[in-house]
Order: sequence, then C-alpha cells, then structure tokens
Amino acid sequence: MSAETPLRTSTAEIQADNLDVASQWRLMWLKFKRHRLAVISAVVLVIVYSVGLFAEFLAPNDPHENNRRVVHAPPQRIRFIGEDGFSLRPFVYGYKSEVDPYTLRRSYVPDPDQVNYLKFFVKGHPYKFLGLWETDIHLFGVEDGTFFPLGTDRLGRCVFSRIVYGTRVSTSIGLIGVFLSLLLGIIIGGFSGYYGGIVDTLVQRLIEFLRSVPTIPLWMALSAALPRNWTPIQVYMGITVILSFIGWTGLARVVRSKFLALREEDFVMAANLLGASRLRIIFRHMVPSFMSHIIASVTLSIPSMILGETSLSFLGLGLRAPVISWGVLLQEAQNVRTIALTPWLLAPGFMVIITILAFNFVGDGLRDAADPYVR
Amino acid sequence: MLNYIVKRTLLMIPTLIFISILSFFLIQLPPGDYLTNYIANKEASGGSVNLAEVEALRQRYGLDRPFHTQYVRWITGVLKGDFGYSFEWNRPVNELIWERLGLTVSVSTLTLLFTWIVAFPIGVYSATHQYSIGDYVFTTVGFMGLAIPNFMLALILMWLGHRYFGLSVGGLFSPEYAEAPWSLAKLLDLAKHALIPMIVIGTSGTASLIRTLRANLLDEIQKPYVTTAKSKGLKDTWILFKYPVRVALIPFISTVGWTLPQLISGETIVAVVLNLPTTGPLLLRSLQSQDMYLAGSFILMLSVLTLVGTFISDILLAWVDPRIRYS
Amino acid sequence: MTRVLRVKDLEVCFATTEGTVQVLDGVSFDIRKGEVLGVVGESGCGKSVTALSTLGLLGSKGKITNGEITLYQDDGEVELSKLDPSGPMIRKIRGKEISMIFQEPMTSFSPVYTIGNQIMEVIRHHQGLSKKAAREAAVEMLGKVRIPHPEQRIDAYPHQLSGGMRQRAMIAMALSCRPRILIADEPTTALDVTIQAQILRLMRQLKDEMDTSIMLITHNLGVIGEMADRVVVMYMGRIVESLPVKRLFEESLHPYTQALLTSLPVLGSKKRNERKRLASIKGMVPDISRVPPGCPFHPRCDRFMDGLCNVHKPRPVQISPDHEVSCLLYSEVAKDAG
Repeated sequence: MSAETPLRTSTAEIQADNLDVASQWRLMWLKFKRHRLAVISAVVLVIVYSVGLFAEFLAPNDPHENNRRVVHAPPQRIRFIGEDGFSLRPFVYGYKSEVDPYTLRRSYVPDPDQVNYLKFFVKGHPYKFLGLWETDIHLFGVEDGTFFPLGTDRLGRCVFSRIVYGTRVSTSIGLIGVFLSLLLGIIIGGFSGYYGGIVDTLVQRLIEFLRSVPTIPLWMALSAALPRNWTPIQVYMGITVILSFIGWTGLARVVRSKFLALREEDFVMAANLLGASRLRIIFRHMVPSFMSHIIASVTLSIPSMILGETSLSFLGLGLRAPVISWGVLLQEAQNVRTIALTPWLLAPGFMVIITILAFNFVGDGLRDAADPYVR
Repeated sequence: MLNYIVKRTLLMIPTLIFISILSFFLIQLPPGDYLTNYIANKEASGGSVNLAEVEALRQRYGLDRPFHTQYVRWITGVLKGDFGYSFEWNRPVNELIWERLGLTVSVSTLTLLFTWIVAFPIGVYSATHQYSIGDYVFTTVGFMGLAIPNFMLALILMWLGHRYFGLSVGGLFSPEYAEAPWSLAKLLDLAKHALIPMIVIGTSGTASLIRTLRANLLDEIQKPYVTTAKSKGLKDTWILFKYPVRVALIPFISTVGWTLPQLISGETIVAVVLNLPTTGPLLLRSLQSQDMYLAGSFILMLSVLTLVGTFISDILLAWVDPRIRYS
Repeated sequence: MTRVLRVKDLEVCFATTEGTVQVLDGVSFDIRKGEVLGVVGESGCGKSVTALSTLGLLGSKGKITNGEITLYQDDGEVELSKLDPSGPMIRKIRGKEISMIFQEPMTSFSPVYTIGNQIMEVIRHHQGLSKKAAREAAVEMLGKVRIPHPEQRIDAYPHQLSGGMRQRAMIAMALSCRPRILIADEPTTALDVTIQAQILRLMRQLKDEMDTSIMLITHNLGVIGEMADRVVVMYMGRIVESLPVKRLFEESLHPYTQALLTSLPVLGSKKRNERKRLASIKGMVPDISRVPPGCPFHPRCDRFMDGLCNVHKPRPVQISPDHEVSCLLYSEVAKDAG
C-alpha cells in the first residue's frame, strides 16, 4: 500500500533543487552536517588524533621519568582561588606527604605553602618536534615544583603525560589495523563478490570459519606466539596484524554484498559491453560507487581494534612496557585494591570510552549520510 | 526440517576439522616448546633440571616430531577422550578443563538469557516510543554499553561494590562453597556471584541487541502487513506482538550465533579481572607458559562451543522463519 | 438505491517535520449499496488517504480536521470520523463492516504465518467461531475465490503462493465476514495483465454474490471502465469531477478528466490516420505542501483563464443529478465575469 503521505515540504524541496547538481561527496557532507552528535564527535576525534600527533609538545612531563618521592600521588587540582584570594593565573599546590598514624600508609595532600603558577610554553624535557627539530618547549606546565594533573603511578610517573603519549600508539593501531583489514577485505571480498561461484563459496566458508572462533582467545593465542625478543616496533606491528586478522572478515562481507548488488546494475553492464577490463570495472566503476559505505563501515570497525589492543595489553599479551598505550596503562589498574586507593589510574579507560563513543557516533552519522535513500 | 538439520550437521564436520587444525597450529606457533621454556626458566633461577626426565617427556609426546605427526597423535587422543597432558600442572588435561568449561558454559548461557530478558522489552519499548525520553535514555545507555571495554566495567563495578556496599566482588563461589560438592545452596551461591559477571559480560551484547531489535521493529512496524492486520479490526497490542515483533524476533534469535563467540570472548577476559574459576585465567596462564595441550584443548573446546551455539541458532531460525525452512 | 457510506467535506492534515500539510480538502461522495465506486487520480492525489481515513488508519501523523464519514447500517448510522481511531468501536467496523485489500499481496500478508492462520484470525475475532468452524469457513472462502485445493492451500505460507493466488487469498480474507463495503486500493496494479482481468472478474462476481459495495482505488482508467458504476476523479486532495462511468468517456467536462482520458492509448483503431500521438498532461503534479491558489489544476490546464482560475476556488457544480464538476468554466463566477 502506498500511503500518499507528503513528507516533502517546501524548504526541503528548495534544498533538493540545489542538490541536483551536488556531487555524491557533497551530498554526504550536507546530510552528515545535520547529524549534530556526529559532527561533535568528529571534532572530538580530530582533537584526540592531534593529541597523538603532538604528544611531546602537549605532555608537561617526561612519561618515562620516575619520581621516587611522589609515588601514587593524587592529581593536582588546577586552582584559581588560593589563600590570597582569586588569581587570574591558574596555579597548583605542591605536595606535602603525610603518614597515617594507624595504617602507616603514606599519602600526599596539597600544600598551600607551595604555590606553583601554570605557564604556557614552558621549558621541560627535550624532544624532537614531529621528529623534525630538537626543542624543549611544552604547551603548558610549571617552572618550579611538580605538575601532575592526573596524579602519578607506582613509579611516580605522570599519568597525564603517559595518557597523552599512549594516545599516539592506541589510536594509530586502530587506523593501521583498519587499513590492513580494509585492504584484505576489499581484495578478498571484491573478488569473491565479483567472480561468485566456487571462489565465493570458498571465501564465504573461510569467513564463517574465522568468525566462529571466539575472538579474544584467538587473539590471545596469536599474540602469545609473538617472540619475546621482538623490539617494541615489531610487537606493535605484530599486534596490528593480529587485530586485522579478524577485522577483515566483516569488511569483506560488506564489500562482497555490495559487489553482488552492483554486478547486476546497468552501469556495470554498460561498462562490460563497452569492453572495459575487469580490473577497470572494479576499480573505476564499482569501488567508487560504494566507497561511502566502506568509509562508514571502516569507521565503525575502528573501535573494535582499539578495544582489542586495550584488552590484549591489559592482559599482558599485547604491547609491553616501555611502550605506552592505553591498554598498557590500564594494566596498572588490575585489581580493586589499586583502584580503591588510586582511582586516577583508571583515567586512560575514559580516553578509550570517549574515543570509541566518538567513532561510533561518527560512523553512524556517515552510514546515514552514505545511504542515498535516507533523507 | 529434518533434512535441514541433517544438512546443517554435515556442514559442521569440515569446520570442526579446520578448527582442530587451527587450534593445534596456534599453540605450535611460538618458538620452542614448554620443555625448552621450562629448562630456560629453571636454569635462570639456578635450579637443576633432570634432563633424562625432560627427554622422556619429549619422547612420549613426540615434541621433536613434525607438525602433522604431532597433530594426528593429539587429535586421535582427543577423539578417544584424551586431551593430552598439562606439563605445568602435571595432570592430564581432562582433569583440568571440564569443570571450568562447564562454568564457562553456565555463565555464558546465563548471560545470554540475561541479555535477551533485558533487551527484549527495552527494544520493543524504544521502537514503539521512538524519540520519546525513554528511547533517548536507552539509546544513550546503549551507546555507553558498547563503548566501555568490559574489563573496565568489571573494574568499575568491583570498585563501586567495594566502596559503597563493602562487597568483595569476584570469584563465582564464597570460600565455604568453593570446594564443596554441588548442592542447592551452592547453586544459589553461584547465582549470587554470577550477577556481576553477567552484567559485565552482557552489557555490550545487550546494547547491540537493543539497537538491532529497535531498528528491525521500526522497519517492520511500517510494513503493509501491519496495516492489513489493523484493517482486520484487531487490538493494537495483539497486532504488535503477533505481527511485527514476531518478525523482528527472527534476527533476535539468530543472535545466539554471533553473540555466543562474543560472550565467550568477553567471558575470557572478564574472568581474569573478576578472578572467576572459568576457562579465562587458566587459558591465559597456559598460553603464557606454552602449556600446549592445555591451551590447545581450551581453544578447541571454546570454538566447538561457539559452533554448537551457531548450530542451535540456525535450527531455531529455521523453526521461527518458514521462509528458511521451506527454501 | 440506499446509501451505505457518505463522506462529507472531509479534510485531512498530516504533521510533517516542517509543519502540517493538508492532503484532503473538502472531499464528498456517497457509496450506494451494491455499487462499485471508482476513485481515480495520479499518485499523491489523496486516494489512499481517503480510504485509510474511512477506517481510522491514518496513523499518529494524520488527523481528520473537518467533515464527516457516516456508515449506514441496518440498525442506524455510525459516525466513523468521530470514533477514537484506537478504540473498540472502530475495531468492530474494521474487517467486519468495512474491509480493505491492498496493492502488494506479497507484503500485505505477514510472511511468518500461514494464510489460513491470518484468515481464521479475522473470522474468529468478529464471529467468535471455534477454531474448527473458523477453519471450515476459511476453506469455504478460499474455494469461493477459486483457489484450487483450498483445504491444502490453507496451510501454505504467503511465499509459497503466486502473486495472483496471494491476491485471491487477500480477497478471501477481506470478504470472510461479509462486509458492507470492500475498499480495494490498487488491487491489481502489482499483477500481470492477464491475472488482473481474472481478479477483477472475481471481485465483480463476489460483489454480486455477497451484495457488497466496492470502493475501487486506481490510477488505471481501463480498470475503472471495466469495473466501476460511478467514478470520482481526484486531483491534489480534491474531487474535481464525479459521474457515472457510462458517461465518463463521452460527457466528462473537467479539463483534468479530459486530459486523463486523452492520455489513454486507444486499441483497435487500425487505420493509420486514426492513430494519434498519445497526449500527456503538461508539467508535473506540484508538491502537496504548495497547492496553487484558486483551482489547483490551473498551472497545467490548457483552458486556464487568467484572473479567475488562479484566484477563485471552484465549487462543485451540479450538471445533472449524477454529475458534478468543480471547474470555473461551468460555474456562476465564470459566467458573471464572462
């Protein structure tokens, strides 16, 4: 039954008139823009990836530097109001250590006598900016005393700086992993969908098989097999490959179903009749027409990569110190006792949550925008 | 229907063979074997190694033989019910895995039920009250559920339980029941302890189920057959449950297939955090120490469980969807 | 003949994301006992909305803002437009007094129940029969719509039947409670031409047999010519002309009706000079949210009178007892100005 509901109204119609000449990408962008949560999330992702890119500049402390005197210290609050009243310049109090007379446990409390003002562009530990030139300027920090905005871990290292450095590893593993998966997915799924027949059946069986193996035990087994004497870079690449070992199956399915549908389309038939080669048809005609869907699926599969790395590293099977990733950092928070005493060690987890939420929202927005029939 | 079941069962056999090969291949991947590891560790700690004993073990399990010989030896054993020997525990694998696998199955099944019971009403509510406040709340909670790594949820819940309720969360039994024989009281104790793991493992599955059900139901509610049913003069709630919900339930039931691997995966890691006496912690240790027969058997059995789950869900699917049954 | 349904000055609005849109504007017609009333128009003209509002099935977005829909029963009248669309009163009408069949026989049955289940459901609901009696009644109905082996086909799922068989089953379901009125919304559009004719013939036979009136909605004037007794022509939510079918092809007056007729291919004109190029109506149906002022058809009308048609809303003019037309060419306003 065709309910003749007129949903199109004048303004939509006027927009539609302009859209007639818009390219597919522009159409997607116009639709994506209306999805406010997705736009906000996209901004969040840009920020997160910038943090990863400029980690050295943004981290106030050297993430590997041990501070034996301030072990498991709580976060230092950034203050505007002190004992002398309001100050326009933000500052932090230094630490004063106290020993509980009953439990004999050492703890750190803010010391109002030590006032350290925060400054922009302070000198700190030296690093190479984007690997290009040597500098020691950091975006913010204190000149004297300590500044640990998220406290310290069991070796007195700055948790905030470690999260900032970890961002680079954790977020890039998602990107590289998804890139590898996509490559495999497009090649395998594309040929499976394009040729059909026995190739398709075999690939489908393989995908079904891989998907029926529980992911985490499989990942665990694979990463346990990485040689112990590998360098951090090798381990990093190894873990990425392991994560994409499962990831490609989902993308291959999307590509395949799109190929199956497109194979029947008139424009592919037309290209065939014109004598275009198979590869040309696939890459010139078919791939561009579902690229937008692929981008949406890719965005939605990055979270599982990030979660995978985090989980493996958390179990001690993934990346290992001295590499810093969110998962490696969360390893510090393995049990309730630690969390009860030093809840700030869970902070890296919130970065994981925020990043994954943002990817999910952006992916949903892209998926809606990529669908030409959703208005 | 019978035809379908037979066909589906036959299809499982090659998959099972592949899975057993993959499992064995995986545990063979690391360089060296348990014994070389064992010797290295002993020597590092200054202990002496009984080389003759090591050699005997190596001979007995053919660790120096090529891959296929070892595989055939192992898999023929498995078919006879002998899963090999755990070097680390000095016991046959058989004695170690069954109780833990049983608990994994119980926890996963309970979680699956929990997932369904929670997701069903919420999904139906969200779809029938689209864009209401309740819908927004559930959607937001659902997104959060998908985004929180479950080990972190475990940590947070443990912390909250400890901080505000003074509970020691973790494990599946109270100490007094841990070694006790099975009884009603032990079962109740298990149920009490299983609640937190169920929530932790089930959250992301519940969230994705709610999203699936909501989207499907929204699709179905607009279908012409719903208008037809209305034009017959039936009651709205009757129509809702007999027609669109029934069709939207099809993907719901088929989720056994894809949530089971997910649940077993999640269970593995959550078990480590919550210290559950299930497969997770033991699998982790056996992988780390290259206790190959134990690790291999776990991976094999977990995969088999998943296969069985998928099998059941396919049968259920054919049962609820006549279009599959008769095609 | 006695009236079974009267629709008077019906106005329906739909809420959209960008405000409310009026989709029916002053629709009035009668359906008499035992007749087939054809409703014609291009898609989007409000045919289906008219049908759905009769049964209170407009959904949460649509609302009857004015007018009356009256059902005449043996023991009195019911004001359908005043009934709560989700209340028990209208539910007693649906499927029992007025039932409906739809365009897509495939999607109009739920795929997961047998057609027997879905037919028996309506019988049991309205007649309170036992399961066994309902099954017998359903088999009898399936036989009436000429489905072969009805006692076996009753247990078939919709996907196991062909399109024509499904539509027969749909008709069986709709007629199973012997309704006063059957609303058929494009019942043959999705079917093959040969099947179309069979289904139409079947509907006619059953109508006579059961003394049911039919409201036949279609965009196909051929179907109207074959089936209907009277016809109502709709354009953009209004009725522009209503007249007996016998007179439609010769005596229709409204420029829109005439344009529709000239866009029909004429079969059987063998002589070359009799063949004419098929006419088409210029322009497109405007968006329903931007109904042109005056007569809604004026931008496309080739007898457009500037200063009149784009200013005055035409009122229905009685040409003869059975023939009404809403066009300024035939109204007092035009004569005054002329």
